[in-house]
Amino acid sequence: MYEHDDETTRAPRELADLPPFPVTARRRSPGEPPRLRRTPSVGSLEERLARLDEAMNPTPERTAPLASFDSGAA
Amino acid sequence: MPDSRADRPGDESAVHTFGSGAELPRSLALDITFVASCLIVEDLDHAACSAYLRRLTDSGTVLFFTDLTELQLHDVARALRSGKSIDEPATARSAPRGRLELVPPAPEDLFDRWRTLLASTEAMYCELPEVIEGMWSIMTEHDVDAARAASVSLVHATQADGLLTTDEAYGRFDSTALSLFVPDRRAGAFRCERSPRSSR
Repeated sequence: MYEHDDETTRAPRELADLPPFPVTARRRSPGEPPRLRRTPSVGSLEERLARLDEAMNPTPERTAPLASFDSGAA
Repeated sequence: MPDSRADRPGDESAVHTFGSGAELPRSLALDITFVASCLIVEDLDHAACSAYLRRLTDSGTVLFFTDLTELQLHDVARALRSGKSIDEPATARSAPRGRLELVPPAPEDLFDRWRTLLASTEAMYCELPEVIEGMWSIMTEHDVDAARAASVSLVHATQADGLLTTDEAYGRFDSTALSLFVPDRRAGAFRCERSPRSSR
């Protein structure tokens, strides 16, 4: 059975040597910019705008109306 | 950075609407609510958000995002598939209202279109650990959850001009802490949320 005891619940001394939270993060120096990665963009601006339009407003076959969804029709 | 802090003379709210201002920002951070509004045709803010993203792309504005954006996109896809509303903070008010009248897009389709969006814009990926360090102070100071704090931390870490969002909860950040870029129809709500703190 667990017993509350300051001695038993205290973190082992060696834990104090771990890096501060968040442990997974690289700690940036003050003023140091974050690491960034540009996503590859392909094609001319016109081509990219056309693809963007298609991504945001897909053609009907990608989101076809489902006539029977609410009407109960077959 | 746009030379005006806000769209109305004397308005120090730093709530910028999509429909105003000839000069577009140089860089912005993406919030999932904006992304969802761009990708979900049925969303009430779809027309405004998609048109603004097109303008940003045309002007070469850099858009920052993190792993969190893609994680939250999974929630969007799941909610669309189930036809349920999308809980905050995943997409806040970006869920389509009422029952879907269209076949919900398959998650793969949503992810495909997100990838196309990234490849078509000046998108810049920032690893989530790069913004975690600044999150806790944001959470405690502004009483927001980790997801929203990560978006704000992303703005700060990248020194972006502001945050693209439709989530009015960001209005609780005062104007000196965060500039917001929002659909015109939501501007009043953002400014209303922001005004009590801004006037202190």
